[in-house]
Amino acid sequence: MSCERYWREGIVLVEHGLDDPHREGCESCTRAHASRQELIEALPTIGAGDTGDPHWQAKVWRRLREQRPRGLRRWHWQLASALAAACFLVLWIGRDRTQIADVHPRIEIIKGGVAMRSLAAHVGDHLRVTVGETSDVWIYRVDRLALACRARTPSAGCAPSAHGMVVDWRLSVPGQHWVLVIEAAGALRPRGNLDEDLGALESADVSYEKHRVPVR
Amino acid sequence: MVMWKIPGDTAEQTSHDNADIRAALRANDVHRALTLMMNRYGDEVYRFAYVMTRSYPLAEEVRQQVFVEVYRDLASFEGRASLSAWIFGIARHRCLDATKKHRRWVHRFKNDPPSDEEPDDREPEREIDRGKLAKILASCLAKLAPAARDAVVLRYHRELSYDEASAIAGDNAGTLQQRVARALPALRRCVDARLHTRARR
Repeated sequence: MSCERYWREGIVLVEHGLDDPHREGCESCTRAHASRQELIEALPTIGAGDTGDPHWQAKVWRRLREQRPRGLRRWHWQLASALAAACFLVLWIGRDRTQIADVHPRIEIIKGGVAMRSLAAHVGDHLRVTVGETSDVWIYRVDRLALACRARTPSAGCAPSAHGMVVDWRLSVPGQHWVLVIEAAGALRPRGNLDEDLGALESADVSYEKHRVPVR
Repeated sequence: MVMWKIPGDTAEQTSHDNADIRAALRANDVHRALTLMMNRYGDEVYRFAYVMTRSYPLAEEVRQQVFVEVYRDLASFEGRASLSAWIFGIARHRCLDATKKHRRWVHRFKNDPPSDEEPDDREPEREIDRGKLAKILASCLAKLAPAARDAVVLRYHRELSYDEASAIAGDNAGTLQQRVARALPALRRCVDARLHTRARR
């Protein structure tokens, strides 16, 4: 009969390098141990004498030689990538400078010194209009002209900046306000009435942006 | 100039002094060091890879890849483990990769369902041809779970101590002992079953 104890417990003792006193007086356990020994002795013989490809070392050297040029190519790729990134950066900076010269009009409501996210304004807030250096700004309260700023020309509420002009207008009365940003500086002079000025801009085919600013 | 770190090789001083390899590394003669390592460990790595993958082409592929990596990573080898433990650690990983790549993993290395039968050691003094037994053993090893197979191969095929096997497998020696103690009965059962099948033919 097979020695179940040996395969469950005795073998654990053997692997831990401990004595198994039970085995001394147990014939089946002794046989089981011999059976284990047979396995242990046979295990190192697996693949014994197999040496594989006789030219394997040469193949290792060849692989190593092939990897070196690949390394160089990788280095070239890295250099090319770095140059491409540098070119992109230069172009991007150039593009940015071009954009700075032609700032997209920005209309903001300033409440307590902080620019708000919406154009819903209250009396006492400030209207800030930022434009590029080739734009005029006309501000209307209801439909009457309240402020006209000419490009690059400083005046009350109109401050030329490094990249254009910043218009600051305190909203002192409630009602609808309109901001016109005229793209071609000096093309027209405002007459004072919103509808008439819009008509004149249309007639002269001058491009402009119109922004509504409600003030409560 | 790269200065190679010299491996301690305390674990293998009994089997290989590796003084020649250390001298070559100290002299920054990597070509000679790799040649010596290939001469010394190449066939062992191949046999180890064969037992792990049970495929001669995969074993050859693993052996070549191992020494390519040894060459590449010599500078980062810190000598904390012995040189052979380091090489066989790489080999072990490449074997696992190779078997996964060939999608044989699931079929080859899953465990047999546990059997209620104990190994049959009733046959007195069986005379089994060693070559046949080795072949049967190789196929039975492949049926063990990967962790169990690792432990058995490192301990009894590579004939390492549990401490040395632990340095390669990354598990502690006690865990490896437990795995081997559980794997050997399964291996014995598998071998017996194959032998009985052959005897019936």
